[in-house]
Amino acid sequence: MRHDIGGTVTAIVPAYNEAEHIADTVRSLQEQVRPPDQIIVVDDHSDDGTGPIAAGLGATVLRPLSNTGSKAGAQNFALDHVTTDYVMVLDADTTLAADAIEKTMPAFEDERVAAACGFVVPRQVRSIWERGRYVEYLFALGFHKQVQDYYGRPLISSGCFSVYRTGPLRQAGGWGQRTMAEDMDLTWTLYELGYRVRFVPEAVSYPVEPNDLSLMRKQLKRWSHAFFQNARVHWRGLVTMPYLFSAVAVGLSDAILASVVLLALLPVLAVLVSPLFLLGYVIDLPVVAVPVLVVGARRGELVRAATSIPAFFVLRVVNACLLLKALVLEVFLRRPLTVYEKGH
Amino acid sequence: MGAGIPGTGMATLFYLVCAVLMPLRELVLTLQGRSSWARWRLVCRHLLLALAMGGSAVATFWFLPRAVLPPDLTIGGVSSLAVTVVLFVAYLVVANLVAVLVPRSVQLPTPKLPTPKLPATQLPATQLPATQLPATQLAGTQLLPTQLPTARAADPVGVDLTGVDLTGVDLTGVRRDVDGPALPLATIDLTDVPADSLESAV
Repeated sequence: MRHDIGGTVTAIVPAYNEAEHIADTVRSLQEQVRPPDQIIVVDDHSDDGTGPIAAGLGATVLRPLSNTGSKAGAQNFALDHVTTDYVMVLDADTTLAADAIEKTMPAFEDERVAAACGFVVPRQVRSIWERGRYVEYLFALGFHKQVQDYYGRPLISSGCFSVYRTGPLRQAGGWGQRTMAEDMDLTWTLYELGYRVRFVPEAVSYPVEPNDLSLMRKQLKRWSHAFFQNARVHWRGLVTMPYLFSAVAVGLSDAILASVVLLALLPVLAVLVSPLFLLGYVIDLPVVAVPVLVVGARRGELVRAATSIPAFFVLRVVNACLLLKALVLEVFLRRPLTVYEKGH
Repeated sequence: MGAGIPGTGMATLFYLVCAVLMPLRELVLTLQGRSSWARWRLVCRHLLLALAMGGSAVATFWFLPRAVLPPDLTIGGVSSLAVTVVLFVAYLVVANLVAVLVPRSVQLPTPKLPTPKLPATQLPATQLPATQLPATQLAGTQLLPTQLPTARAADPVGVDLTGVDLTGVDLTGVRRDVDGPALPLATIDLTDVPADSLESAV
């Protein structure tokens, strides 16, 4: 059944050296069941021909006079040119299922909803890092985020694909550049302004995920720092929202305690007491496997999900390292990450 | 997207508890006339998922001590599982106590004014329907199919940059398709674009 929500939509695609992917991204927007009324590609001073490719496909290409320095900067640059009721953002390396926008828009039937995001599935699931990320998404978006949505507080309206009402977005000041995760910052700002955010699992996007350790490390480093940065920026607002506060609190506890357990406690116990403590690295495998296999089966990807689960535990250890490092740098040494480093 | 370590520690326990509490909340909403069958279906689905996850965790903790671990895996004589649950509850209580004790005055971030209109280079869009542009072509050069996973190399219609000075443009990985057919190409009209603003582009 098609839901027609009145209003026009502008799609903003921030792009920096995305010649390899931008054509697929623009085409996936044009081939939507409910296509956006305007597609703006912000060519943030690419030197690989990204802009001409997007323009050739019919997108409006804006090119700032100098590189804006971050995804948020590029998106804000385009926001000034938006005249539609809704704004959607889509990463330049992300494609959408044909019905993604159509499935997302009914979330705005509730006038208090200012943002809505969808399910994310890596476009390519080949390397160990892509497989780890695939399992992470199936687990976190197939269970955690849906529970968050039921209680009205999705933790993040994902930056790779989200739709916003233009008014509240402008009221929030656009995408903040004070942290390294503009999506988390904006989501929490919208909550603080009294708006709602929805997660629509039926609307699926397919980003290209980091396929090697170097790219994955850059992305996880940015996300880890951004988590602590946003917690610091928003903590006064968070305490007025009990559910969100609890979700962030347990997230922080995992970031710290689980990292210590994985990186310090388990190896020490394995050496000093018994090697059996190494089982601790995979002791939650059954808990992880249940939602991953259920969601994977629902998507017709049971075998891929099952065979990818081991990669999740590898990615988790890398994640733990970067989270602990980010904690030390952001909280104890007061050396915040300030340079936006692209890692897909 | 996010940060954290899904699958470990308190976060998963937190969401399991939240899922188990869903039916109670939905019951209240039903009594208030604010529920629906669709919502109940969602609640039941997540409850079943949570019960399956919880069941698998209990089975793990039941099986492991009997199969591989020493039977006395206790902390101060108390089961380690019980210690975990107590720690989890205590943590949530303390966290929410902090929330109660902290002054409620929310200091909102100062909304910044809309970005001032910056001069931009706007490349005019071509008039060809999108469906006629399944692949991308750069003036006699063709992107390798491997670089465009879904590009259809068989019908390459694209962008003609003939006459555009591509000096300085990094075309690494792009090869000239010398054997390709003559193509009806869409054109990017750069006539009205100030030359100086394109300096670093092409």
